Amino acid sequence: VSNANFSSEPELKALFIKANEGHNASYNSFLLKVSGLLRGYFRKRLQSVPFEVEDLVQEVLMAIHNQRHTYNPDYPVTAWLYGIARYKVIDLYRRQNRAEHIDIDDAEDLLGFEEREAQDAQHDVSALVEQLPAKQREAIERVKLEGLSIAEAAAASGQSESLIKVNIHRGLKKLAELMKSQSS
Amino acid sequence: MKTESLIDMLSRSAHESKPQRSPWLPLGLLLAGAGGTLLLTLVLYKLNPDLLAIAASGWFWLRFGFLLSLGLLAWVCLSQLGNPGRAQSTRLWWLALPSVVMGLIALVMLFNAPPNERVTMLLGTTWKVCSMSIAFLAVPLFAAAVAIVRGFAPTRLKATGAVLGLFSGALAALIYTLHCPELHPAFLVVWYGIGMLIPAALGWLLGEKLLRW
Repeated sequence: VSNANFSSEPELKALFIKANEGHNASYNSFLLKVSGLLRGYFRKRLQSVPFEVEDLVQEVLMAIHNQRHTYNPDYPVTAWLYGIARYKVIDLYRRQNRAEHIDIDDAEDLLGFEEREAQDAQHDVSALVEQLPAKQREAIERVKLEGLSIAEAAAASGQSESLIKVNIHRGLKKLAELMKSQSS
Repeated sequence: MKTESLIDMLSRSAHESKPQRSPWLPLGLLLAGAGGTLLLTLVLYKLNPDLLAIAASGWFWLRFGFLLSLGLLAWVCLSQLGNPGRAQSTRLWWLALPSVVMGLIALVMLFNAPPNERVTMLLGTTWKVCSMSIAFLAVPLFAAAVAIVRGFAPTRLKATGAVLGLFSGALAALIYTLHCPELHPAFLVVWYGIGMLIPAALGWLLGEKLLRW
């Protein structure tokens, strides 16, 4: 069924593979679809703490980005996404010392209804970017927020191109950690 | 920040290469850990002077195969546990296979031996120090394995920690065989088994602390 509110494994996989080949637009629609799936999945599982849902969606998006090298295209992308989503729910419970048991479910559960309507997250990513070390912050602001290319950002900031890449990578890792420590 | 702005931010970087993870890094870490264990073995325990003589025996190679296959199986399980899409379907019972085979051989041999020799088969000459030596020698390999697995994305932290410990224990035991004179399967299953289970238990207990991401 190809409905705007449904995503299928082949569709998601094709998008993710194109994204990993360097296609920004595919990556954007992949992350949009995935955020919808995650929101639906987390809403069902975090009914006692609905305000955590959007934070967790963002945390998982960061994890997907930082861990995308661990995806092996021989296996379903849904299973990979589900593995990360499930891990992050369990991790949230652990952080809050809640003994709640996570249902035995499977990857198929992720392909439910997409929840497009986002609530605001509790944490503010732009405020978190401010907390990063200067070079990482600069690289992320220039490339991610202002949309410059790596070469342009390198010229504008005086960092070399490879340094810009490294600082973006480190900055995003650090950002994921800041998110995690803030919501605990 | 709205989730959509975060997505915009992340999706600008599809054109960047994926985070570079050199395949040499895990190998280098592993070699460093194994080197540490080897050094400790040679300095604190010394090479077995009869090494060449016992290497001619099939029992030596049975012991070698037991530990090597356990180490390889643990590695396969670790690389699956480190992948979010495959961790749930990792078959951990495979790890029992080498010990079950050794255990069966040991039982047959014990059963066929005269009763007064059975105790010697089980205790050898070094049973008091064997397990603790292996657990101790596993320390550098354990540290290396933690560093390697932290580059993965494990989603079952306790299980991953335990397999990581077993992996370091099996490799440490393999290196310890350069010193250890014991070859009897009954001895190996019991004392080597305990020696390898100690780092595995430690990994189980520390997994959530060491491997969180």
